[in-house]
Amino acid sequence: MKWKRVVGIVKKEVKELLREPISLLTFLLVPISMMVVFGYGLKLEVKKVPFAVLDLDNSKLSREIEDKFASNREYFDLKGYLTSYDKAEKLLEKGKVSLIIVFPPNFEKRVERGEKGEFQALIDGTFPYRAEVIKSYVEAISAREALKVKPNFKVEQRYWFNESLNQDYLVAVGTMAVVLLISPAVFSALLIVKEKESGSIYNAYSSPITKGEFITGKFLSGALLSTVVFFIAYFMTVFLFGVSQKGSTLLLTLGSLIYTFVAVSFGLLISNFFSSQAAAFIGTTVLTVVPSILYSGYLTPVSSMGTSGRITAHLIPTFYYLRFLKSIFFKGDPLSLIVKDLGALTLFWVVLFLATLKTFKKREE
Amino acid sequence: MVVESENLQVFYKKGKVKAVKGLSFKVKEGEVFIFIGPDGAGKSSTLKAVCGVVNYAKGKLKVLGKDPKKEKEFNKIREKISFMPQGLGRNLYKKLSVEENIDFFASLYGVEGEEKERRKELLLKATGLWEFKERQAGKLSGGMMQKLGMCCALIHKPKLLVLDEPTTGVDPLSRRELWKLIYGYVKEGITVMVATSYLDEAERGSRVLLMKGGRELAQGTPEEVAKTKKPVLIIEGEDYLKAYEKLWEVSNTVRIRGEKVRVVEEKDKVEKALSGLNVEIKEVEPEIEDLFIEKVGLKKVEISESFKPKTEVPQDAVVVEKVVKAFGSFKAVKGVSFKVKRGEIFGVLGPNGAGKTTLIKTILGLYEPTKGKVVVAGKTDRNEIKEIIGYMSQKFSLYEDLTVKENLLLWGSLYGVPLKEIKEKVKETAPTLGLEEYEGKLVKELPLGIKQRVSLLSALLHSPAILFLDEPTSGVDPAEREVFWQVIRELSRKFGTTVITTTHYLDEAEYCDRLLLMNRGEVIALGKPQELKEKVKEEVGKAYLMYTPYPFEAVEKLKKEGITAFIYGSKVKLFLKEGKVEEALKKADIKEFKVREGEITMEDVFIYEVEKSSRNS
Repeated sequence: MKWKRVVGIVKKEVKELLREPISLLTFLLVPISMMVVFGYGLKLEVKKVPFAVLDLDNSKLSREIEDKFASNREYFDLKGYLTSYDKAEKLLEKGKVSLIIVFPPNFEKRVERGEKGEFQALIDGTFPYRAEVIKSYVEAISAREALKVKPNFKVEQRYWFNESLNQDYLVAVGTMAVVLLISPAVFSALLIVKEKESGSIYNAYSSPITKGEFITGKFLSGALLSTVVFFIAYFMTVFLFGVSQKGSTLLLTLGSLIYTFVAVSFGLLISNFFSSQAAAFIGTTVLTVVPSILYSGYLTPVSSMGTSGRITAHLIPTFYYLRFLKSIFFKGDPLSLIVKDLGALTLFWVVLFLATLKTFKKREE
Repeated sequence: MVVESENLQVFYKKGKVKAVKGLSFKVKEGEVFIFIGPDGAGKSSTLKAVCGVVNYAKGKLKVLGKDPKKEKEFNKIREKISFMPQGLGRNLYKKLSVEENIDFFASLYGVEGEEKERRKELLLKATGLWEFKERQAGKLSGGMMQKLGMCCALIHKPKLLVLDEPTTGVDPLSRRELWKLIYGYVKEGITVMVATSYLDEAERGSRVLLMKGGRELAQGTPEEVAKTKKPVLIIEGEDYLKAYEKLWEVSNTVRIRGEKVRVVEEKDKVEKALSGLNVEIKEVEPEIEDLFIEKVGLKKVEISESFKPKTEVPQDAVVVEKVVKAFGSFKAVKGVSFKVKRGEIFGVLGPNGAGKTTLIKTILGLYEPTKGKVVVAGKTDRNEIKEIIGYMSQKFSLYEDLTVKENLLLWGSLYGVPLKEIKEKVKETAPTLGLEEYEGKLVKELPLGIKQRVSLLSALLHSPAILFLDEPTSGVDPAEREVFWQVIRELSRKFGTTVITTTHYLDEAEYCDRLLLMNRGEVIALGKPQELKEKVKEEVGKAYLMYTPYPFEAVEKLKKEGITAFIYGSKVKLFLKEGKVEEALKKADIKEFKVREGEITMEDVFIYEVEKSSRNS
């Protein structure tokens, strides 16, 4: 490996990027705008939940509890009172309400007798994430009322470490994970394809530069420039979205860099299969956006996915990185607890890099 | 032996596309080996196989003793080879400066330190790029980009320099300079392999391989390659047009060149056919084009009456009077005046940036002239001329994903021709233009020559009285080009269609009745091709070709004597105004030589006039 050649490539790439106003703009603007649009636009926070009440008890206690929900105007929006289960079900089906609270007959009497008082919360489960949040609200209120709630699906406590339950923080951290995959991957995919398009790839084909030197040069260029993207995303997460970080910055940086290496290697791998920039751009975008948003645990908790979804999630680097980010930001876990995630990311990197080397041909097809 | 190839075959798409179908050749050290042929002949694929950029499928290939297929072994000698791909500045990084480009190549090939700086300075100064070393490569002219591409390819002192069409799309002046550079490197001991689609460049090689459709047509020295089976005859005189018609009965190699007919045929046969006509028959040295035409053969093209223009055009079909076209403070056209007569084939020539395109666009009414007046078919109102003119652009305004027929129907309808009429015209014309079998095919699947004909036909469907062509036949083989120009000539002679064409392909210039030479927005010469050549002959003298074992030395000696001379393949071309050429050569202390009279080509005219005007301004 002649490092002078590798360095030559890196220098060339940096110069080219700095002199191309449009690519420089996209290079910086894409991550920034994605952070802003997703960070502000994607409101996962659930507020003003439309709900209805089916009070078969009609007692003082039941009305008191109803009132607790109805008076919490920020989170709940009372749509009305029902008289039968049938109507309740229909309302839920039509999506008019997301929550129905059902008080059984003799609810108050049971409580007064010192028996276990139960009321039911029917929650629209179309969006598991939303359902879970609603459930946690119901739980919070009923806990305050020292009452037990019997939900219509299994409960798992989840938001332990994000005590304020601020969904914006979760979104910001998740967006950072998505952006740090998409942006470096797309940028790196174009690194090789643009040379195929312009014809300068022939210099690599016909000169004595080896496959390893060429790919390493491109990889280092991608990695170096992606570091910039990491810092942008990180500072936006901390300063713009105000996410407080509990764990070590050093660890965070280390993990993030490994993750961007994965993204860069993935982009380079993709570029071996495309010969036009437009195709490579679309290909890489689709292959990074879809899995990282849908299967990483960003929008949908992995625990609420089916078996196939859960397996898919484990094949996507963003899943590990997001878990790693949450550990660092919200829990401040020590290295020993996150070493598994770091290991998984490193494995992704090595495998993708080797695959890139294997599939790059120093010849025209 | 630098390169040895035996039955070389190159395939693409897993064998579905066969680009090279068995080619054998040997390149000796210090040679300028030229691969010549039209687009799609397989030149690029051959060169790429030699450089180990594509894998060859079958046959044997040894480059500097190594097999390019074996990457590991071949990678060791890659530093001795340099490859410059086809296309203007294709190996360059457009955003990097001239110097940075060279530095990058130096880092690829491991050239460092003082050696690098020394070599860089040498190359950039030789190419005249030294003063532009801070400029971004993308902002250079086509010719300069190609020169920079060559500098980059030479930074590591390769033994073998492989250039894929370095002169395509470059104006004649820059072309000649590029060749001068190539010969300079040969002098340093570099072996050069060049591909070109300009047949007239064949003479510049020490060895030539003429290709078509992936196979060899001929191989040898330029003279050997051009050797036709039958003699090449030129017929001139009063009855040359009658002779042209007659000759089709005995030969399929008949071509009109200016006011002469050129044919490859036995002399007695021609004499018999032309007996009683007032013409003179002369035998001349064959050129590669003659060989090509002899091998491929031509067909006479007839154009039906339906292409007769519907509008009568005055005798002065196009009048351009003191036209100035400025863009801001930049004047692209600086006061140009000329008249084009009805039925004339009029050529506009000039290097890149001479103002040709701006001038044509102004005539077409796409630009409003800043000053001056343009009258087309007696009209000055731009909107009135649209139906009178036809336009065929260099890039062909055809839709790639439509079939030939669909394209023709679309273009005809856009000009308001009834569908029935279009169909009739296509039906009549398709056989003579050889388009019948292609009617149902998608345009993107067509060979270049066919595409050009379809494009021409689409511009003719509304029977225009004035036809504009923009570099119409670049890259096609001579037989294809001949068909194209036969159509143009028929239109002009039979129906009085006026044709204006722009080009920097000098082969095309020979087909024109009159030429307008432009440089830097000004007219530098105007006249018949023959007149222009005569004028140059008067001013610089007769042209000679000299064969000598030491051409580089000879050029230096001649220059000292004040004689215009330059390297021309393995020969030296020189111009001498008076006196005997042998004596002049002896006087210049050139000992071993053989000399014969050469021709003043359109290229000589072009370069002479452009240089003269540049000196004057």
